[in-house]
Amino acid sequence: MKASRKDFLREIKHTKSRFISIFLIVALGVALFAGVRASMPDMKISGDRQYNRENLMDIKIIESTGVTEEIIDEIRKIDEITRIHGAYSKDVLIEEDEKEYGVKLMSIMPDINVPYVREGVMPSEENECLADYKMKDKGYELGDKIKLYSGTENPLSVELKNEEYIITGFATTSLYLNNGRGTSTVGNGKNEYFMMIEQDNFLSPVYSEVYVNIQGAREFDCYTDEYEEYIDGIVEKLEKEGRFVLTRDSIQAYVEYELDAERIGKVGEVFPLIFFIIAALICLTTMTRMVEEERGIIGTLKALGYSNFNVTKRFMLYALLATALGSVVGGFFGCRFFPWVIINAYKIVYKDLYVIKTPLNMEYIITATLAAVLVVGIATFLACYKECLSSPAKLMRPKAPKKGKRVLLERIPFIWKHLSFSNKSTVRNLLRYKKRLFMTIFGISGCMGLLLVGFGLKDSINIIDENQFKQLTVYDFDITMNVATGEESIKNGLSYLDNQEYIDEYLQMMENGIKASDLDEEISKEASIRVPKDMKMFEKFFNLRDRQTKKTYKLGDEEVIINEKLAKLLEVSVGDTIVLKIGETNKVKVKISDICENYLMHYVYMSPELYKKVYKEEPVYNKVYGRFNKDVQMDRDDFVKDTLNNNSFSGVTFVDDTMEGITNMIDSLDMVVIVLIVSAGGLAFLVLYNLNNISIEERKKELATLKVLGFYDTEVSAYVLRENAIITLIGIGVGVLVGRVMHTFVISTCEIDMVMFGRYVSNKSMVYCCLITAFFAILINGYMHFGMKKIDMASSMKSVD
Amino acid sequence: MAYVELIDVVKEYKSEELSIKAADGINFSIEKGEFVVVVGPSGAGKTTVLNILGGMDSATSGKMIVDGEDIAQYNKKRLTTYRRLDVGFVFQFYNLVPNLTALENVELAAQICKEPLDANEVIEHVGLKERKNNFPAQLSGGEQQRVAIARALAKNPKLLLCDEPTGALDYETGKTILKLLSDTCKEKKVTVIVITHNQAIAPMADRVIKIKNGKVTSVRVNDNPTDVSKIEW
Repeated sequence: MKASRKDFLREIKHTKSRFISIFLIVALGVALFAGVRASMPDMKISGDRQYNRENLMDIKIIESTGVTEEIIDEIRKIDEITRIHGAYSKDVLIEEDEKEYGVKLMSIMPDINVPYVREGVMPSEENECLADYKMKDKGYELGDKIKLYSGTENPLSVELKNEEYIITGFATTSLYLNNGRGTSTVGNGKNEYFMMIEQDNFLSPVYSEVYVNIQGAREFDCYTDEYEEYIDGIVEKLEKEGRFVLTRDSIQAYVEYELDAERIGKVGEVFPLIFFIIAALICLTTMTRMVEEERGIIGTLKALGYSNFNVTKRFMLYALLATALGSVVGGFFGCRFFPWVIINAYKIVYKDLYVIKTPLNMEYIITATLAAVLVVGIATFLACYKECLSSPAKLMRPKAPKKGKRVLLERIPFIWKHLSFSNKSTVRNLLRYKKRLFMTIFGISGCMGLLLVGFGLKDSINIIDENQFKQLTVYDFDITMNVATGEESIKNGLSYLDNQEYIDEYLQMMENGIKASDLDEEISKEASIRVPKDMKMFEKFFNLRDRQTKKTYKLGDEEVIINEKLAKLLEVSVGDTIVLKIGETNKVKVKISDICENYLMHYVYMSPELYKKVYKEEPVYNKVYGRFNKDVQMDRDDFVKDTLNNNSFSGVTFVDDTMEGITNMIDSLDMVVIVLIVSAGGLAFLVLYNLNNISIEERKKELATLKVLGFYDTEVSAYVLRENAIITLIGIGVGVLVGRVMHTFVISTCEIDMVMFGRYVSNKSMVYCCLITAFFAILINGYMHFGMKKIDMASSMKSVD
Repeated sequence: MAYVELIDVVKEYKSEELSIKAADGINFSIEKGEFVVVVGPSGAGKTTVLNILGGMDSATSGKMIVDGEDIAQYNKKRLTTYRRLDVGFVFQFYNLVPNLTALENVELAAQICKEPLDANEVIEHVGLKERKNNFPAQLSGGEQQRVAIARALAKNPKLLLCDEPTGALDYETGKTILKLLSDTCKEKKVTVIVITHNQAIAPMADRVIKIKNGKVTSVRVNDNPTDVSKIEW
């Protein structure tokens, strides 16, 4: 083996801790970069694989008159269709603990929407059923008999052969990936479970719907444009009068899952980059220090006749080896670990996701590796290049120690005089090693910032609940009126509401879907137009206010008020005119008087007078927003049942349910926040460890001098730690600013169009972040104390700097 | 009883393969207020003796009495206190804190002592009144060594230990530093121990201790020390 190679290997061996710290920091940076970025594709791939496994429908067709065999035969003629089945579904009720629960009853198809049987077997007899796996948790067991009720005046026997079914198995289906089982036409309007039975049980001559799998569709990843375009192409062929052709986008959980995946994708765009930059900077400092420390060796090698290239090669190899190893290990680990953690976090919400795929995302691994190798390589090269320019003789002489300098503060005697002796030296020391000062502040503020973003993300979503439903739109329930039943029926419905003691007051409103766009109609967003019937009542339910000033706006008769996020998306502001579209032809132009705080969906608020003016018609009030009287006892389920049985109404929703959905979203973020905290902590630890090691190394002699002078170990540590404490405090301060900026940025990228998160970090979170950051700093400083204890006075005093 | 007394002091460095005795049964004694030169070739064990004397290192076995106390029995903490209150060091490479001015370097030592001398007076004593507000990097080697001596003196130590104090200085500067040390010894009644490989400065000492291979080969008391200005090497 060549001597230079021996030297190289021994160098690594002797500077293990440096080699390992470069390795670790690169590994962490790359792991986060590749891992968090890979989470979105991995989530989508996992979903796709699961859907493939179950032959999840590509297309669902509903005919207004029901689906006959003839229709199926006709659809089957389309070449691309591989599988097609007619199917039945029905909303029924079961009784559990003397309460009614809604059940979505579906017919089993042989090879589309195949349920995943977790326990037991598929039914083989007509009176057997497959039960929702959720029911198992509620205490149902295999072999239990379940009786179904119709929930209407019509007996179930009209539609089903059997009313009682024996559970042969518990299953999940990708139709219901999360806890929701959809709405019901009976009972309290909500389905709690699903059940599957043999098709022959249904007596109806026509199918409820047709499910179709398309040839080649499974070759695409389903959450891609390619898949959507491919399916849309087929759908167009199926379009027909009186027929509804639905894609997977009609499955609620399917869409929600995609949105959640994309939200993680947005997080992945920002966060890992910050980590990566910090990691790169740390490697840069470490390598620069290494080159400086070994200037004597550079001099010796040059004196021996080694070329600059050969000398540089030595350091480059060292840095690149550590970086490349770190990148590869970090990349592989990150791509396996982070998506796994994040998908598992989302399993809190998407309980029935059972396929988890975390393939190695070579694209991200290679990108991150190349970037890391490039950054560290260039940094090392520049550091070597600078030293190599010096003559060997100069290199072999010790570098002049850093000069002591007076600092600006000394020119202000008023302050300087009042500082104690050790404080004076602390101030000077802080300013002496400027590069390290900034690096450390950068590291600590980075840690603090990341923590703030993690905690803030939660706060900002939390506040949606708090602000939206407790301050901005204050109602307990909303009812959709069945306006098709005629004026008389609506009147009856309203008087029914008037007669309910438990309803405190309600507001009639017109609420319709529209498209809102800017004046040039370049940007167009789905929104709802809201026209209240009674302005006084409206103000009791809806507080249209400015988010920052909290100033309340009044809805005028000339202009509209739109919500903040819509204004931002349409790039319009107060005084601008927007276009409201119903269909493609019905367009009106209205001016914006104010922009109001709002977190969910988009709304255009319009007074009835303005509505009449622009649309030349009376508004049709199709919604009722109501509040319960807290003093009157009521049964929510009864209220829903009564409402649903009343022909005047077609649906009711509760704010509580909406809020529960948001709470679930927050819960799934918990894990993401933990990942962020642990990563930020790891990063802070590595950064501080590295910088402190350099710091001790650089000041070894100074510290040894203090020891010789008779400073106790704690005093020696205090001499350095005082500086660190100040740096940590500055770092935390800067971190608060950095964190707020990052938080705002991350929040605005994380948001999907329909939602606005708060831009808010609670004081509690602030305190937590400060404490966690301080904890990491203290931990490192404690470690440093032992490092300083180990400094050998005698040998340090002997050496030149 | 002598002021400083070393009895059978052994310092053994053990590693897996071999053990080295840097001090192999050192015996000598020093009287209070003496100017002592410990002389010997490189690797003889001089620095080991100084480290043990100064409380920077502890002996493997043996006794070391300073002013009636057996320092060899001290634990780490007590050794630190011993260094803090009783010992002043002067090194070959000055070892000043680069970020503190000359005066502040002296204050750094003075602030942790019980009965320190006034930093300004000590700086004046070593002849650096005009340069006291300069940083080490702004001072010459000789001036830096003066600061180091001032720093050691300010502690009002029982022992002033100097490890090759002239090693990094030119001939003339080296001589003035030795003069400063011997004058200080006489004026302030401090016991000064200088360690050097330079045999030529032995005649200026009250007591010369020669060390070779970790053992004391001779101790000579000099009743009429030569003035440093008359010594040449």
